[in-house]
Amino acid sequence: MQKLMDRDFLAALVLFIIGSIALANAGTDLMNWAFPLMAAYFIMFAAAVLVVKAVFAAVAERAPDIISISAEDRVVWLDVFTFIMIALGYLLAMYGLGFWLSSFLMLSLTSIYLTQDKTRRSMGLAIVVPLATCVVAYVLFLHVFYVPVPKATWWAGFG
Amino acid sequence: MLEGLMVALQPSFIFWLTVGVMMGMVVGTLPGLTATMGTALLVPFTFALPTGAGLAMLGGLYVCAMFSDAIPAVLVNTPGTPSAMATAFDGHPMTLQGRGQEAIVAACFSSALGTLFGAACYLLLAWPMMTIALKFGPPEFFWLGVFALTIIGSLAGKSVLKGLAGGAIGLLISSIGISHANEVARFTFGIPELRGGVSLVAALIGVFAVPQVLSMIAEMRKKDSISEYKREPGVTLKTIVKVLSEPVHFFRSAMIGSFVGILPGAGGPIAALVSYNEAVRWSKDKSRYGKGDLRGVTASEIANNACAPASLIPLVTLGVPGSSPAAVIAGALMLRGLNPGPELFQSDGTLVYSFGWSLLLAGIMTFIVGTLFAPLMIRIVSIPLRLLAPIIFFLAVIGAYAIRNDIFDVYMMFGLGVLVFLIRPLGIHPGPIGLGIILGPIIEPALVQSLYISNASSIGGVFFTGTINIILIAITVLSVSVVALTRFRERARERAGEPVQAG
Repeated sequence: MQKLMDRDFLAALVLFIIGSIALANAGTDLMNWAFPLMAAYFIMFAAAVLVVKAVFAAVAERAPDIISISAEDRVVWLDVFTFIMIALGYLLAMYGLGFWLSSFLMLSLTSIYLTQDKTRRSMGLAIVVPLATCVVAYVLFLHVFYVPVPKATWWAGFG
Repeated sequence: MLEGLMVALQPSFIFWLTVGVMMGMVVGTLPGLTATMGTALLVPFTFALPTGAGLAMLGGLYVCAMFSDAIPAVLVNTPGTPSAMATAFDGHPMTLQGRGQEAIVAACFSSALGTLFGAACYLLLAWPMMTIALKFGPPEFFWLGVFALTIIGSLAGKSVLKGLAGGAIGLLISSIGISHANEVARFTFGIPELRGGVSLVAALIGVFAVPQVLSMIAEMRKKDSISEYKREPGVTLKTIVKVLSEPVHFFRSAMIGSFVGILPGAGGPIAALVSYNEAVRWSKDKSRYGKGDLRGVTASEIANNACAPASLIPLVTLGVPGSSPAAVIAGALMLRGLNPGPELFQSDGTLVYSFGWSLLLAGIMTFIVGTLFAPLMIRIVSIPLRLLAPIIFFLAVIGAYAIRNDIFDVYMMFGLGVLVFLIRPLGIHPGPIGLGIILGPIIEPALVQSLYISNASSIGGVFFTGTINIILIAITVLSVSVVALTRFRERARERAGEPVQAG
C-alpha cells in the first residue's frame, strides 16, 4: 500500500491551484469581477482553512486521513486511464472518421477492453451491443431530433 | 373555463397530447435533450394541427420531460435535464439499494401530483400569483439564489467547507465568458470558444455523467452491474400510499414549485433545489437525506413538475414566459398570429383554459405512461457495467454536442468530468459544483443589477429592505443555522462514540 498525502492537505492544494488560476486571470473592475472574485477568494480561504486543519491534526497527533493506493487500485486506475485515453482518441478522431464510425469504434473498443471474461459470447456482445446502440441513436438523433453530428473529413460517405 | 375543459376532452386533443407525452418521455430520458429543445423541435409539427391541439402536444411534451428526466437521474446518477439534479441526490442511492423501481414510481406519481397542482394554479390562481411575482426584482432574485445555495449543507458530504468550496468552483465555471455587466471576457484564456460561456447542460452532463461513467469502470472488477434487478409486485401501490401519506411535504413542495415557476428566469432546477432544501430542513431525521430517502425524490419531482404549468402563468397573464420551454410555446403562439398576454385571455379565453386543462390531463397521462414503462426502464440497472458505461458516455457526448452543435462543448464536458472524478475522492463532491453552475447565471445578473440600482440609493437600501428580501434573508439564516446545528450535534455524537478518532 503506497501512502500519498493527507486528504485535507491534498484538497487544499487543489483548491489553491484553482483559486490561483482564477485570481491570476481576474480583473479589478467591480461590476464585472465582483462575483468571480468572491468565489475565488472563498476557494483560497477554504484552502487555507484546510491547511490549518491538517497542521493542527498533525500537531495534536490525531489519526490522519491519508490517501493511499493499493495494488488493486493500480489495476482500477489503469482501467480508468485506458478508458480516458480511448475516449480522448474518440473525441479527436470524430471529425476525421465521422461521428457514427468513430462512435462504433469507441463503443466496441471500450466494451472489448472492459470485458474481463473474454468468451466468444461476451466478445460477440461487445460488438453487437455497440452496433445496435449506434443504429438506434442514428435513427433517433438524425431522423427524429435532427442533430447534425460531425461528418467524416478523412473519407466521404461515413458521415 | 368549462368550455375549455370540453375542448380539452375531445379525442383529437387527447391523441395529440399523448403524442406530446410520448415525445417528452424520450426527450427527458436522454441526457442533453432538454424540454426546450423538444418543444422547439415539435413546433413545426403543430402547424398542421388546430392551435389548441398543437399547444396541448407542446404542453404534454414539456410536462412529461419534467418527469422522465428523473429516470437517468435515478438509474445512472445522470440528470436527463438540469431540473432533475436534486432527484439524483436520493434517487440514485435508492437504485444502489435495489429500490430503483420504487424511486421511479415515486418520481412518476409525484410528478403527476405536482403537475396537477401547477395546472390548478394556472386555472384558478393565475392573477393573484402574478401580483406577488411582480414584486420580485433583482435583489429578491439574488437572495432567492443565495437561499438555494444553502442546500450545499445537505450535499456537502462530511465537510461543509469542501462543499462550499465545490459550490464556489461551480460559480467560477458559470462566470466563464462574456460578463453580464460590461461585456468583458472573463477566464477565456485566449480561447475564442469560451467567450460564449460554458453551456449549462454540457457542464452538468460533465459534472454528473462522466464521473459516473468513470466510477462504473473503477467498480467494474467488484460488481457486474449497478444493482440486481428484482421484480417487486405491488410496488406501485405501496409507493403511491407512501407519497400520499406525506400531505404537508406534498403541499410545501408543490407551492414552492408553483411559486418559483411564475418567477421569470428561475425555472425547474431552482424549484427542485429549493424544495429539496426545505424538505431537508423540515425533516425530523435529516441524516437520511442523500442516502436514499423517498422524500428527497418526491420533493424535487413535485416541485419541478408544479413549476412547468406555473411557468406558463406569466405567459398568459403578462406575455412574459416563465421558463425556456414557455418561451418556445410563446413563439408557437406568435407564429400563429396570437399575442400571449392579457389580450389573449380576453379574445380567446377558451384556448387559454383548454391549454390549462390539457396540462392537467398531461399530468395524468404522464403517470399512466410512466407507470407502464417503469418496469422496463428499471432493467437498465442489470446491464453489465462493461457495456453500460461506454453507452452512457456515448449519450453524454451526443447530448453535450446537441445543445449548440459545438464540439468544444463536448471537450469542455469531458475535461470537467475528468476533473470532478479526480477531486471527488478529496471530498469535493459533484452536487455542490453542479449547484454552483446552475445558480451562477441566476445570482450574478441579479447581483450586478442590484449593484447598479444601489448606485442611485445605497447597498443596504437595495439588499436589506422590503418584505420579500427580509423573509428570504431570514430563511437563509435559519437554513444555515439548522445545518450548522445539525453538523455540531453529529460531530458531538461522533466524539462521544469514538473519542480517539475525533476531529
